[in-house]
Amino acid sequence: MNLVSTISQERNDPRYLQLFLLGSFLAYGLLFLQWSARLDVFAVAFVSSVATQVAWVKWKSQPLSSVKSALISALGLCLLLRVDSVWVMALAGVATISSKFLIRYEGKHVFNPTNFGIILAILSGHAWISPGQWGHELTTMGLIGLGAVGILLRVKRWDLSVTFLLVLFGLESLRLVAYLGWDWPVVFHRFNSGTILLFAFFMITDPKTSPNSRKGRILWASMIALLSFFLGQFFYLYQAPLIALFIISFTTPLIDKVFKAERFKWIPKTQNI
Amino acid sequence: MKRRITAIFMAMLIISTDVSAFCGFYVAKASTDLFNEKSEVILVRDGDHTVITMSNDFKGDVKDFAMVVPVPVVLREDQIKVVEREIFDRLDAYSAPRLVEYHDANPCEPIVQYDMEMAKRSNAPMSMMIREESAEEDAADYGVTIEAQYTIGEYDILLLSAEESDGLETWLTRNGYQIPAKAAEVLEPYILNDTKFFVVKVNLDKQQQKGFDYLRPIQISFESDRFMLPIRLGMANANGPQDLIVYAFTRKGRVEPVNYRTVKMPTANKVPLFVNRYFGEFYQDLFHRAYHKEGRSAVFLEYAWNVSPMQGVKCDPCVSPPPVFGDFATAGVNWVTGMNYESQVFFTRLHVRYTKDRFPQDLQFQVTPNSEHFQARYIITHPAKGDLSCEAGERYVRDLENRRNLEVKELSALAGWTNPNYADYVTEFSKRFKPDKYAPQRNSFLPAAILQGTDDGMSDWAKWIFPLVVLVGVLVLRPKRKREIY
Repeated sequence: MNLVSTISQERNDPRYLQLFLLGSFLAYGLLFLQWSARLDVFAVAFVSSVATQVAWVKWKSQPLSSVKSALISALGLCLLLRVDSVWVMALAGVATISSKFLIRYEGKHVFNPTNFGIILAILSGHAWISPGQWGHELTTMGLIGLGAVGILLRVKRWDLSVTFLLVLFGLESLRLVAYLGWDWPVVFHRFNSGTILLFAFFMITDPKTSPNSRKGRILWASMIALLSFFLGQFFYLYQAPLIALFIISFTTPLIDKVFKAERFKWIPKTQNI
Repeated sequence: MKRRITAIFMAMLIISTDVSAFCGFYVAKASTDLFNEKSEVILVRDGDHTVITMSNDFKGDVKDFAMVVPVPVVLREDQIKVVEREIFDRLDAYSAPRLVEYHDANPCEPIVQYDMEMAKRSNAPMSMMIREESAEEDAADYGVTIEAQYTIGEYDILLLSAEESDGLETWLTRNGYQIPAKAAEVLEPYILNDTKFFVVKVNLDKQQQKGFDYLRPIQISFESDRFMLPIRLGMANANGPQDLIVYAFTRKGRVEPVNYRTVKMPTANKVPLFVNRYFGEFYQDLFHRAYHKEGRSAVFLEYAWNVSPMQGVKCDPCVSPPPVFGDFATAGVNWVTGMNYESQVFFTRLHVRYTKDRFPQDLQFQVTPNSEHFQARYIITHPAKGDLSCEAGERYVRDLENRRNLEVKELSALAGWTNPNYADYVTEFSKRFKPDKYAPQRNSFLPAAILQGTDDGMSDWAKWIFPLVVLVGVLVLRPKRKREIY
């Protein structure tokens, strides 16, 4: 493989764009939204994620290009997870990456790595998420929306975002507006939230852990939306989408068996003559 | 006797004519002097166990006072208490935004002076309550069930459940509560969500026996997986923004709203000496600007501290004594048993100014393990006293001028205060004791003039640059249409 084709292939890796976008969101949050910037925690997130990835990759003698995924996971942790000590973030980083190598079914990892790390960290009692941290400003939502368009065109997983958001919006509208009689602004306020948009556009769209076929993905995203709706509306869990994704991830192998399709690859194989 | 649901006003420092209400709505005559000055809540959360203490500065006839608060369950008699008003005053005084005073040492006679003092705001005075008899009809069958009925302290308390909002509205009206037109539609979601209603009015006989000339706070406790404050009901007839101060106690750490953004108040800012005389006004305007700057949709953190009995430093510096065992017991912090490490208590003070349009959802909270301390604290520094004619003294005076220049800029950025006389403060060190020359020219055009004189961080346009940069990034990193190499 010559150098030109390597560079060209690399440039086609959507993970660069994803890194850039998540990095922008983090910078935006720190600059404009007064997130409590603990640079030590951020540094630990990166170091632990990347080190874990490198260790696993060396051990399994896989290509090092997967470090990009570790960087994305680390950014995800920085964006979503808040901790009361750096050790929790270190463990979250290790858990996030290790889940990809340890919890596999037929060669595909089961859990969305960042989601797995976050759930584990929250269960430890020393971490939390701040769903309110994005506020409800138009600029913020515009930024995330813009990023979403960019990334979804790349990884072609917009079906997941659209299904999830539509189903959840439908269910919440039915309950909050049609049944309980709240005004529409209540529903809009719930969806005008960076956390839910980030989840819909950047977390469940992970092509590695979502079902391979489109039909499977639509079913999968609907189930996440449904469970998230129940957990949020009847059990008052504000982390509902994250928990729903975690639980529904168990069904991914089954869905892949029923709806067969080719597995996603970050860098499409090129055939050199 | 008709009662009318009237909102109350509850700003902590804010003296204005804004109508406001609390997590329930108040039922009273709609005369303008009925507005409450404050709405304060003590929230205690331990697992699912929740204790809510509600205080108000009701300003009208007690016979007109009534309050409706949505509660998740029918409360038993032992779950309702009347507590003394002092607990709020103590918590408020302890956690209020503070002005700290420092003294410069005279560089010509280097003796270290160390003295701190706090400027504290005063609370609005309570009004007198006039007693008058009122009759109440029996419950009629409007789909309204009286689940329980108690007389506790000076209050008559009803726990209602309803099948539909019109029935409840009619029932309330029939029983002498005149509720605002919009109330029924606000009641509806709570009824459908199987919420009970905690309806309180003053028992005039008891009130007279007790001899209080004000209404004491009511405390309710219950088990619920929901950790929230129903603010929407109070907005039924409110026009302007309403202020709510939440004093929260948990075992673990800070209380944080999950459906609104939390913003820390500016803190540790150095402000001119004369702010001392206008600290109340300063904090009002500071809060007002911060409120607008954050898009009128944020919840503000004013204080966060570990107040466990075993914790050493409970404030830095303390405005007033930190909560003691008696305060914990009154507030409902039942896990504090004494000087031991099991008695961990974390205190959070939140300040919310809410309006109908920016706060469409009730406030929902979570208890986080975040035990980082925070206090809203502003600093004034007294210049050195005595002869400053030595060389170091001249340098000191020059530095002082620079510092005061920054202080004046800070004042403009924080509170929006400008006054040409401030130039004298900066330059004329010797005239610093002139009384009231620096009286603020408070800007009444806020928030229209909010950007004036602001140089605190990024302005609004910078926010829009960000999406543009991202757009460029997306374009640069976009996929190529065709892959050339195959």
